[in-house]
Amino acid sequence: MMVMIPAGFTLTLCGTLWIVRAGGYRLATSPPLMNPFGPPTSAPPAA
Amino acid sequence: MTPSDYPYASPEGAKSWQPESALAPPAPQLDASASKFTLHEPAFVVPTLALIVAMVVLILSVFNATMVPVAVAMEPGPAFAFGLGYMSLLLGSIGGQAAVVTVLAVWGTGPLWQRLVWHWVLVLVAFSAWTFGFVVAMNSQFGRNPDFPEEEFFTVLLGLPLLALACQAVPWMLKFYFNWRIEQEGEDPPAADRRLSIRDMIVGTVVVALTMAAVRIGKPANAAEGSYWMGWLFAVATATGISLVCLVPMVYFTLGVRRAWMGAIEVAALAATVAAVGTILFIMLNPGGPSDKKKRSS
Repeated sequence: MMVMIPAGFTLTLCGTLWIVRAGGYRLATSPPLMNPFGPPTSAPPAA
Repeated sequence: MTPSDYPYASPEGAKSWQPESALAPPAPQLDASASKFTLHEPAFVVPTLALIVAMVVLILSVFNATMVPVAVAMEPGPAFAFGLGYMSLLLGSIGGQAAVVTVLAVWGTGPLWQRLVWHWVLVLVAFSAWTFGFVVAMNSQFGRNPDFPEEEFFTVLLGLPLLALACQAVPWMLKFYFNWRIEQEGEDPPAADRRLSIRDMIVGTVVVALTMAAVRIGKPANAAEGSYWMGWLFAVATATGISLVCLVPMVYFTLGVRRAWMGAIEVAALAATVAAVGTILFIMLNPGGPSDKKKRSS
């Protein structure tokens, strides 16, 4: 029983995310932002 | 009024009292019509991420509806183990559905209010399906006691927002401070999108306020104040812990790694670890099965 609960969770979450990945989506991150409530700054130049 | 209209203007050749820009011919007027500006946030769009999550939740809602009827129909015998396994798989799947709608609400694209609408519509669809199965099972099996437990039902229903916030706590932190987001590969949104707008802050404040009010309203009349809130505290801690230990790493291993097969191995290792730890905890908290109890009594 304790094996099937994580299995159900993993299959549902990761199955959905693999479909999302196949659709061209990725997890994007950035350097830490110390003040997410501050005013917006200019975007960095594209590489 | 121009400098020449000024009645006390200095004579020609004297130092001008206005900057050069004021003496220059007027610049052509800029067309400031609203259509010339592009907003940070797009108009109402249906993101692919939301559609995929919606399809998954709709399909799995069919299975959610079978949970209570299967539980009621289970009887001791060879099929009992299969029924228990199915129930456990479905229980985990319900947690997984909560996880995918959390991912959509926190890390999806588009304005916050639209993501919240998607989130809550899908949560209510999944919960309604489970409730439908519960009602069907009650009417078929529990004919002796057909009273619907309204008070408990509304307690759970009104507590769903608190559980949702508990699931979202860690993902929101990662979004705020490390700018986690799920977007099309190569997409680079403007910097303003990465920060909270005033509207987002207002919506967030209202959501938290309504959440706490809902939990307060959902308290059963006969429940003790302390035990009621301790129960929710335990539920919130559990949801936050699962989010931190399972949801966040799995999202990273699935969407954040370059090689999909490497991510699959990491996901499998994490799931196996969680299952092993869960089994050990279960055995420690429930010492002795039926056979042990029989031995001890004899």
